[in-house]
Amino acid sequence: MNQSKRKSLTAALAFILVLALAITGCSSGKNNEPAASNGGANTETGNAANAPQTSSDPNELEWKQDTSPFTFRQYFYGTWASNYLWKDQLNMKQIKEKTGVTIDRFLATGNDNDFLNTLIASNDLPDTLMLDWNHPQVTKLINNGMLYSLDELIDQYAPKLWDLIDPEIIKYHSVDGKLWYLPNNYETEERLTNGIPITGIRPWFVRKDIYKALGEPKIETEQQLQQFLEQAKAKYPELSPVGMESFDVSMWGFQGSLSMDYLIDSFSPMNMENRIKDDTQRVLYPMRDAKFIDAFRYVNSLAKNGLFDSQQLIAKQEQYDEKIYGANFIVTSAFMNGMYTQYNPKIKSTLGEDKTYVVLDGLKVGGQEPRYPASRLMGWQGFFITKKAKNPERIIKFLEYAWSDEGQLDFRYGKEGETYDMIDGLPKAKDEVKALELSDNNAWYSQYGFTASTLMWRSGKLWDAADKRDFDEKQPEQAAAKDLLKKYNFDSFSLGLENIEPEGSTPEGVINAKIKNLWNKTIPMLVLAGTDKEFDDIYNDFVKDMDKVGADKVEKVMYERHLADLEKKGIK
Amino acid sequence: MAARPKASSGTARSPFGKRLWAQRYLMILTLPAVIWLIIFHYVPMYGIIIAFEEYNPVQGFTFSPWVGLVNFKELFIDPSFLDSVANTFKISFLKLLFGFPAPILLAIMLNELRAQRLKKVVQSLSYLPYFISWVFVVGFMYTLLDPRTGALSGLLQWLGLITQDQLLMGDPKTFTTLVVVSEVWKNIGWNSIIFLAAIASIDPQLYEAATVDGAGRFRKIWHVTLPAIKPTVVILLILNVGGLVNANFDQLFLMKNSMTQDQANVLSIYSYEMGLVLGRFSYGTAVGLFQSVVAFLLMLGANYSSRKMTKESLF
Repeated sequence: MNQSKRKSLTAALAFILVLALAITGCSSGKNNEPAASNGGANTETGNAANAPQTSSDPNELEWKQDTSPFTFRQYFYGTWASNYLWKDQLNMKQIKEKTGVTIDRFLATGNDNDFLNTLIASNDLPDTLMLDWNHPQVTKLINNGMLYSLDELIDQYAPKLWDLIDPEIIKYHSVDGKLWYLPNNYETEERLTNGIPITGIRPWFVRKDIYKALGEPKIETEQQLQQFLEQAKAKYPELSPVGMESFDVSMWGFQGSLSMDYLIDSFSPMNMENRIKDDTQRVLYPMRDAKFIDAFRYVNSLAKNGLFDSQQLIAKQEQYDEKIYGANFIVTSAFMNGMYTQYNPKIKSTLGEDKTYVVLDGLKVGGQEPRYPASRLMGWQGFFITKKAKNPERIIKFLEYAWSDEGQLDFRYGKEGETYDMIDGLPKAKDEVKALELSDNNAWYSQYGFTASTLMWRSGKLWDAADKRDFDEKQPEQAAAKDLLKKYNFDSFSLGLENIEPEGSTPEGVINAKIKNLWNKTIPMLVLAGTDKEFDDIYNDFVKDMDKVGADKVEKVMYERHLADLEKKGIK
Repeated sequence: MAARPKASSGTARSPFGKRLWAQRYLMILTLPAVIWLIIFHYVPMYGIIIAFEEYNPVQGFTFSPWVGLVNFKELFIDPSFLDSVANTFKISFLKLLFGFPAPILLAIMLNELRAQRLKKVVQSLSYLPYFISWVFVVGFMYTLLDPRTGALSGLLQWLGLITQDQLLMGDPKTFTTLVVVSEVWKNIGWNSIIFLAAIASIDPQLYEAATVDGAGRFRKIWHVTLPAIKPTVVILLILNVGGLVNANFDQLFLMKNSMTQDQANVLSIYSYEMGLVLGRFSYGTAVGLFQSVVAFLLMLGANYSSRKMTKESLF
């Protein structure tokens, strides 16, 4: 008896050991996976089982050959994009029905950058990525061999896709002669003259009732703005005078906060041109421009007069959001579309229309008009196909569908006659669809899912013209605001300043990160400086420190990248 | 059974095997924990080797190109790294200095309380903050210390301890103080539990004997309570010294902002920033490895000196 007990005990022990081995075995097995799945990917793609219908039309796009059910995974870089997840929205159902494809799209848990780096470090990428084309890790993905080049896939599986892609895109976005991703939101040259006007900055707004109560004074110069704030503050001491988006140099760039652009482009209208020094072959850091710094000096003077809450220097973006929703700012900066589609509607429904915000005109400093860079977008996110993709053939074919005119119309408007009609040759959403989009954006997304399925926005006369028509008709307030600021726009495309910062892992990239760090802690010190002398001392120390860590080396690399950008754009 | 007495392996076992066998049921009880430890603490250790490589995720841990000590050479001339070492020790030392004796004091004071109800209430209230996550605690701090609207800031301003517009959460000078105070506040109650338990196990006869000898309250604390909890104190101290290089990541990461980024730059944060934020995986791992090695050495040192001085030690 004792022995049988012992036997069962040994068995139990053995079982637990096996279990332990199995668990550890799993985790190490995972590490070996890449090699296997890479090799396996191509063989799996044959997919002979789903016999493709023999296509009779030689012009027919390749995606139509196989519309059997197929799912691929996609990581979308942007935790805010919960509206883009595939559930059972109408558009997702339509696309699935037509192409057979379902996108299992997911978002980061926590911070996007960390999440992406974790995916890379553990070699655990999904089939596809939607990732900003100029994200610093793109180079790493390419160099580590973690991506399929689209060239190779298009040639092999969907050659007709070549005819659909604007040659300009191929020229601008190729790296080492290959296309590694297809960018959405690439805007063509006519974008500046056609379509909805571009607002290249975060405009500043004033609360309607306060502005009225103070007699709607002119606010056209920086002094007038400051005077207005002083009067308003005296009358409404419980409100925060100025609202600005969060400050973080590594996230938003050298202006520190996106709200600073409005001031910087007024104080230093030529700040972009001023950076380019062809004689010394450098593209300088904007912080070297004294007028750029004057914008910060202005915020300092606001702070000294109690017109800027210092807490904002360390606040998070969410805290700023919350305060706008509560109409807690006298004057606030905000993303134009955000103000008119999110903040104002919410304020209107909770606090009343008189507490909504109206846009301010651009500030003229020293009699000079501001200049807002309004370059067309060179793309927002790229569609990347990773080497982990189990069936790159179906994915590239799906991309062909998404990029085609048919795919574009489907993705934006759905089915003709059902959710939109063609009116005067342009698509127009049915009234109830458009009404829901403007009154309850989230409900519109979860019911219809338009513009959330493929995410491959591209320029096209048909829908760009339709967008402009709808915008003028349905959002007159925002259209007027955009028209007001449009006069300050200039085309910064030809300056060649896109994506000029060195890559993160190069020595210059490391220096650049250090300089961003230095500048990040200098901004609050400048804003909170007690005297002009203190301000100047802090600034001069910063320039000294920046030079000490090697700013010049980075400025040289930025010049090289500036030349490369010009070349890709076909300017030099 | 009786027919095969020799077959019983018991007699052939070494003393260690014998003891193992005798405790077999207890051993099985510990097995899940051991497996957990192996899977989550030993298996991942293999990944440390990327500190000596130019890590490429596709090639994996095993086949990435070997670069030897390149990352470590860069480490020791990297001023930000050296700053992070200094900050780590500064913050951890201050936390140890104020955070270690505080729960002992609290435990002794609680023990001396006569009103049992009050003791229970104080004890419960003092260990509640331990269960609040740092995210909330730091969120409260930002709100309470807002110079314009914060309640605590308002109180301090009223008392004249800070100026009207002083941004406590964004001041490099007050940063370390806030770190230590919030840490002590959060953990004091929880950490005192173990000392209360140690005090509770003291033989009451000792106190009675001390009373007979004419000892007062403080005498009793000094001659009975403190010596009795000395082993507990020493072992916890050794463990804490080992943790000197682990300044609390959660707390500092959340309290860090553009104005306090230099003060909050400790080893774990630096490792995170290099590895996960900038994607320099190998360099980030090198920072982390350095941290672990130093922690290990510190613990050995503390254990050794404690064995020499107080005869109490972990091993």
